[in-house]
Amino acid sequence: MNILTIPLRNIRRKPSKTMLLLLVFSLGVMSIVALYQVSEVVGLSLEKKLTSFGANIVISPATEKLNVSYGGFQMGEMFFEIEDLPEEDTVTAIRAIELRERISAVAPKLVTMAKINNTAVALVGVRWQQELGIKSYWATDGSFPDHSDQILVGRRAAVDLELSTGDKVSLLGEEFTISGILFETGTDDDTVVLMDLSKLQSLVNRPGATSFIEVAALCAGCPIGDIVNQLREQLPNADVKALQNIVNQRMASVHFVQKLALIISLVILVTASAMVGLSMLSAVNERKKDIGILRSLGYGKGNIFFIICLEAGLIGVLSGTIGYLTGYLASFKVLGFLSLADGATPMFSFTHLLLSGTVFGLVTVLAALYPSWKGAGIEPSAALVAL
Amino acid sequence: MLTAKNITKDFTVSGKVVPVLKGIFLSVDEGEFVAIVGRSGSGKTTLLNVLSTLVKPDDGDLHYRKNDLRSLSDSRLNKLRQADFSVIFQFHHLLPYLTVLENSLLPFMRSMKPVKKEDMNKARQCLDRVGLADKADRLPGSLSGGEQQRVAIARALVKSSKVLFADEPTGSLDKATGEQIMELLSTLHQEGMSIVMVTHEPEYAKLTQRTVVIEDGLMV
Repeated sequence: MNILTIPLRNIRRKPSKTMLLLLVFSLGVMSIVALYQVSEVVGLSLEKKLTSFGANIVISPATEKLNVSYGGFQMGEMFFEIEDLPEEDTVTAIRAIELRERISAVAPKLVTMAKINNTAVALVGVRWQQELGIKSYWATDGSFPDHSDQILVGRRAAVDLELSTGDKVSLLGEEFTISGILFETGTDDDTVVLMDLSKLQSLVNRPGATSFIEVAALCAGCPIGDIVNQLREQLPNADVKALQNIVNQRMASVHFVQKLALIISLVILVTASAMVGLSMLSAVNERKKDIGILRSLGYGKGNIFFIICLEAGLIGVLSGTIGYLTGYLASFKVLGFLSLADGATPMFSFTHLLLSGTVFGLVTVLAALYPSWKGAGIEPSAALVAL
Repeated sequence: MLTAKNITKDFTVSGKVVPVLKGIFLSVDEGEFVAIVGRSGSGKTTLLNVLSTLVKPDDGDLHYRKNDLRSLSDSRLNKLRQADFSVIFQFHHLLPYLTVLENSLLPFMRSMKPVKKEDMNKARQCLDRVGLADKADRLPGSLSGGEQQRVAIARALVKSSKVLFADEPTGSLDKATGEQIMELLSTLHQEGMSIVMVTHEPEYAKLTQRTVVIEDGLMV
């Protein structure tokens, strides 16, 4: 039995009113928690989906280039000492950075030139599994190669070389079957011939060599700059570039979802807090008699202030706890209903549960500050009018 | 022990200033039982509220054991109400959501510190004294008017008040119950408690040591 007994018993005094207030605030907290959980999951899912539309970091060998002209003859940009990136070491180094969990795909490539039917064409060696991971928008009229003697031809290259699916072509002294023609992508992929990386490395006698490596990083909540810096530290002899436009576009989509959730949450929070504040204000007016009794027993203004704040705080803590649990469960329903989860699930956190109880307890105390101050300011003489 | 000199108090009703106390002189000695009587609206309840520090007078001197009550800070006045003064009202005024025992222990529930066991035992003894030991865990709403008034008296007993201010303690009770309450007050007085009681019942006023008559805000 202590001062806590007074607000606790008073909460029980009007169960329907207390339940209604608890329901309103819990619904508010539930909406906020559900929105947070959904926005987190949707953010991750969106980031994953966006990642499947291409890489956002490119790693290439460090080069020195010079614009050469002599005697009025422009030779264009000349490169010095272009070295291949060793595939295994580079991929291992990429996978070893501190933010490695944010890296969703690493797609090495070797680019070389070859001739098909006496026409020069760019030949790109890829690791099919990784490549298809970051280029899920690719589609073909046949199928993607599943053997090293199969190749995939870009649409424009196929038109120029008059090739179609199922044709056999000779490349670098070996015969390959065209497993499919890539549908037009609007990118450089339309003009190249793609084949298995190991096969190409062996044909050009450059075992383990790559020309550049594309990296897709998940960046919901992580700065791409940090990933790039860590990659630069790991690969001092390579040139690491973030494709800022792609990154910014992806981040903007993710941040939009999160900002929208934050704004809606704030509106809900302010509305629920205003309801608690109004309810406490009317409770203070209703309880002038109680305040008069307590003041006649020597309860000071601080005691009265504390009792009213405590009452609001108890409702906040309860609502925060109930709201977190129901919001967590509701987020599954919302994600299921909207089919947005894409494999990701909301995360339950005991720390977040405690935090929710504490934060919403404090929010209701804040909402009750004015009513408490008003209640505490009632002089015993004014309260006696009610007696 | 408690002295009031030339106490005045006005109230503003609908923008009009109404003088309620117009210069009251009253002193209450240690262990004295004083009745304040008068017609409705004469100012007797306002005088009781001024004496018990619940209402601040507009003018005059008010002293309790060398303390100038008019110049005491809020916290000192609260301490006085916590320890020395107790007020019981005509309509009992218990917190309806607390049990009888909790109501009698209210003076000790001002902080997060749990009520001490000895205070709890004392409260049970006091409830036993006013005949409510078996109803300690009941809510006030389930008690009769007389029983509720006895809870308010028990509350004054628990904190060993020096002065009990009673505002028409029998006003809402039937005759038999009113007499029981008066008997209880008389006993407390015999044990040394000072009591200032407002009443409009002349027969109950006769049971006190001294009767003060208030008429139109003045003592007659």
